[in-house]
Amino acid sequence: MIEPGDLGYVVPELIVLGTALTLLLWAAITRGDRRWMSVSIALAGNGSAALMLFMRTPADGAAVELFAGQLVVDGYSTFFRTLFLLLASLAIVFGAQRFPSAPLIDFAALLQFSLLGMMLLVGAADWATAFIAIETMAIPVYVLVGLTRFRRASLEAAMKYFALGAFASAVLVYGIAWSYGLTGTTSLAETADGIASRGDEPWSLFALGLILVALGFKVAAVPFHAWTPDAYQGAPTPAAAFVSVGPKVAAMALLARVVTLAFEPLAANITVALAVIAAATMILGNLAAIAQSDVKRMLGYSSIAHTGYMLVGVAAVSQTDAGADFVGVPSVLFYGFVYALMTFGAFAVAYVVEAQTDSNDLSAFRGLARRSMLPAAAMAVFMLSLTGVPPLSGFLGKLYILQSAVDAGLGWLAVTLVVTSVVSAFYYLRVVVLMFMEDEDAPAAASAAADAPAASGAVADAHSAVVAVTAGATVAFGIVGGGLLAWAQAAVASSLL
Amino acid sequence: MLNAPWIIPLLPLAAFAVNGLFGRRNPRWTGWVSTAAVVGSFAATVALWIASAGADQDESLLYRWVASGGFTIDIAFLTDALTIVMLLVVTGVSALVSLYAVGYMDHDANKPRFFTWIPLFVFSMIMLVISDNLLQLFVFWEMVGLCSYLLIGYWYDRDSANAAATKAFLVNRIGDFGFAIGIILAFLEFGTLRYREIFAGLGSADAGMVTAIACLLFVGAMGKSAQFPLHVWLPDAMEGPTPVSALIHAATMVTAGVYLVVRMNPLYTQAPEALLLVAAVGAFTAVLAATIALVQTDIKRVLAYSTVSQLGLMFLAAGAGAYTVAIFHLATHAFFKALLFLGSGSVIHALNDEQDMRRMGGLRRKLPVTYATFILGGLALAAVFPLAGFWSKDEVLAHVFLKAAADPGGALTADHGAGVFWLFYATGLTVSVLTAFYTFRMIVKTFHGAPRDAALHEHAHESPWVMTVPLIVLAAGAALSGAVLGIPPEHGVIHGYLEHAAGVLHLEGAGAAPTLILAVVSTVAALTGLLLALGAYGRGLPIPQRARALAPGAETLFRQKWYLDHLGDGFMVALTKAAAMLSWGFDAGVVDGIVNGVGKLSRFAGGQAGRIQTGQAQNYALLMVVGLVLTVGGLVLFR
Repeated sequence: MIEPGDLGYVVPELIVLGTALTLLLWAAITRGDRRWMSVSIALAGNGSAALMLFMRTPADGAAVELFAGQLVVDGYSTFFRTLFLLLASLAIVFGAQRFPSAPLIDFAALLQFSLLGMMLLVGAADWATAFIAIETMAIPVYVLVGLTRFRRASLEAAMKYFALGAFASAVLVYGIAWSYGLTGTTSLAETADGIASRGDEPWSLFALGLILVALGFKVAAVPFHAWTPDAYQGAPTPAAAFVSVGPKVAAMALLARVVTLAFEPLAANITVALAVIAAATMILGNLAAIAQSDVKRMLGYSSIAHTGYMLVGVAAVSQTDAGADFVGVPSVLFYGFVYALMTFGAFAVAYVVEAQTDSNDLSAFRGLARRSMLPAAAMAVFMLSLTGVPPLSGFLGKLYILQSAVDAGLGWLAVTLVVTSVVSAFYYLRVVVLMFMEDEDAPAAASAAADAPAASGAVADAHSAVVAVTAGATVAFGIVGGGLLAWAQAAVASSLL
Repeated sequence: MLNAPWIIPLLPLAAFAVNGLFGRRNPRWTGWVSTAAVVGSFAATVALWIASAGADQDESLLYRWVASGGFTIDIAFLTDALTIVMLLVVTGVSALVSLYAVGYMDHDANKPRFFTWIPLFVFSMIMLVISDNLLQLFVFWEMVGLCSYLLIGYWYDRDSANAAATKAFLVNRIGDFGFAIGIILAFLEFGTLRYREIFAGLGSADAGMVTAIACLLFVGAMGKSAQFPLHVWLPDAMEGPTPVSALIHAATMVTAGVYLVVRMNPLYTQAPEALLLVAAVGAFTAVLAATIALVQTDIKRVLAYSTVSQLGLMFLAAGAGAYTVAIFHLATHAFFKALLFLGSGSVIHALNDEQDMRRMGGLRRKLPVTYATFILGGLALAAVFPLAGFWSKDEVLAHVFLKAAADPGGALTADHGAGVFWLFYATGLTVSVLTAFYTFRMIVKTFHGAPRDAALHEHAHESPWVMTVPLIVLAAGAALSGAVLGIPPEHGVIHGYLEHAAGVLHLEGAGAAPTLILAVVSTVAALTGLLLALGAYGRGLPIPQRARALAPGAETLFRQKWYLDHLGDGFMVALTKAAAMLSWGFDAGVVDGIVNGVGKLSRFAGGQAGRIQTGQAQNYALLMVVGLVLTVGGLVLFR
């Protein structure tokens, strides 16, 4: 059953795993400042993994099933794996700014383990792989959130996230068990046949509901979102940046595969359920974000709101012929990609301010443009893009999602998206106003001046590069978004969906 | 190379980037960078014009930004005769004004900012007229509005400049709101925003919808082109530097509304009611603004009201179905009004920023070049034979006359109110008299008589060559453009040329009009006004006093601008108050409600941020369980 050739397709995953183990080993056998080495190992690993990813693409662009149908290598998984490798690399450079030597090496190793889980998750073709991959992704993330273990808030956040995550995992396993019991298989593709033969009987819907709830937790959809703001606020900022984009998008990718593959026969029910959840998520996420005064909490609620936007796309997906044309899945892929970059960038700038003022309060952004023009300009790009202002990538993403919603007959959901986006301008643009149109508080300026030289030059430059790359991509994918969309469309066309 | 339209907007965009990035360090060069780029644009436009001779139109897709399903957003160029005429006017006048501004802004400390916005404006204006679809036009419509806002408020340390910029911004929002709704309706009705496809879809479109779209687009045009009742922003916009007034608020941006109506002319031809609205608003605005111009004492404000009035005449022409004539008048007006503004700027520059005509007088010997060119511009504005304004304005009136004569019934009939065109014709003649009168009132008060302020007069000096050369070039245009473009009437160069844009431009046949008689009538009207002004202000004849006695309330009415600013301000104040109340209510009700609600919720959940372990995680879990029950229950119950 297991062909030796299968291993050739998982070389990227093997490299990531090897990098993680090397980092652990390195931590055990060396002393002194190992920051450069940690970053180098991780970046070299991720770079060569990305290279292998594209060298070992299935020749005819079709989906290849590996390991007796446990894993699939297709355009869909390649699209997301590329994004995750990029995000993990950015996160490690970001972490080098935040952590001293010893925690950084832990941070890097945990990041690589979680990356491995994410890469497997987007290629999962079987519930067994999916579940293992989810846990491989999630457990290192719980630790990442609590990495600054001397900080009470960090530990609280990690414990809460872990406890609730364990609860969600239990729900997921229960749902998988029901699905298996009903269909006699754990394969996603074969599940669809089993479900189709049973029709929309209550037990199928029960299993579906459990799985939707568990994945709803992972993507932070209302009402399973409550952990999000606490976790982001408590987590060290680089970890928060990674958690807010990586696991969320990975879980979204699995959700899209589940609703278009395993539970495809129940598409109509899924659409209604996801549409309601998406509407609640957009409304609550955006309204709650208005009331926040802590930038990481605000970004937490913002990420909930964006979960809602992506869920609109997934709800629309399940309504239409998957992969047949543009609408649906590619819009979710596009949105996941640009969302990840702009949100990550926003956290990176939040850290610049945190390093200057030792505060995550929104008021610390006051007059940022005066003291650090480039981070302020980048933050303006992120905020405007998150709002959905043309010509930035967030606008294009929303436009594509809107179109798939309208095409799927979900006009009311499209209207909700537009209205809540307008509401979101309130809290996003407030940051822009604070940065550009208000003068900074005197004490903040003083402490900024005092703390500014804290970060060493090269590391600070690397961090600026993270901000610049994410901001540049946010602008570029807005102006030449067609290329990314074409990639997403090609990825979906050649995938197991 | 010759047929490369993209180079036309590219050069000003590059100048914007260069001046924006490096201008602060090299302020001396900013003006020349801007001028060189715009001159290059003009040259490229001329090249395009020559290269495209004979071709009907050329569409080139520059960049397809969004293509999803049937919906596309393009950046595309449509170059037909109409576009090229507009481009020639825009880049030509911009080049001269930019050159002039090199001298005018020489002593200004912030001129890098000035020469950053000017090329950005030129770029946006080029992209506006070169667009092949309504969406691109709208985006750059907003961009030119933004540039206008920034340049009106250029001297941001003056409260009046800030207030004027805000007013322009707010009034234009009203117009743009209508415009945006019109565009949305157009998309819903035609499924596309490309002009060509819209026109192709007109045959099967709902008539009421077409009228609604035409009217809404005209609302946008009213805002941008300062038509009653949205004209109130333009006179205040004179707070900006004079080259800005000449370029943006006389020659180019404010004519965008006229361009819009002419561009969309097949749509308007299908909507006679909308055309009647266009004509009526244009005619009323023309006379309204002309009367206010009679009593202004600020030289730039006279010109501002004159601009509003002339724009009204252009809309009147368009409303009469004479689209070509509207563009003809737009082109000649660009020459002579830019000339008059720049001339007034030369005067203001010579008098240390004095704009009040009551402190001028006798400047003719001090500023000979300015005086001579100003006279030419004034004669052109007054439409005196054979200067530019004569040819175009005469055609406007002739077409209105023809439109009126086309309806023998002479009443509001099925021909959609041809009868009222007699009224419009009379209005046009009145405007002719008034225009000549206020123009020569301004000239006499500024240049003739005894100096009213000796100290200012003492220091007055002619402007440097960078300022006088544009004046001379524009004066040549003001003198000759009408004759060159418009002889013989109805069959001149511009008429023949614009006919190339067949299918885009709808030409009204001139017929066997008694052209000569009409020309004589309008010349008599112009000369009447001119002579009255010379008599009143040159000879001191008691004409104004008599007029006052005849119509005692009129002067006050004009001075108070027909009380429209008060109305407008009142409306604005009310609007602001309402908005404030609303946002306060929103703040108190919704935002505070959310804040308090979230606070209450977290108290209900049993802990504040500091006491999280006491059980908030359980409550989160409880929330999840509730969600689980709802999701699974909902799925099962509503399957």
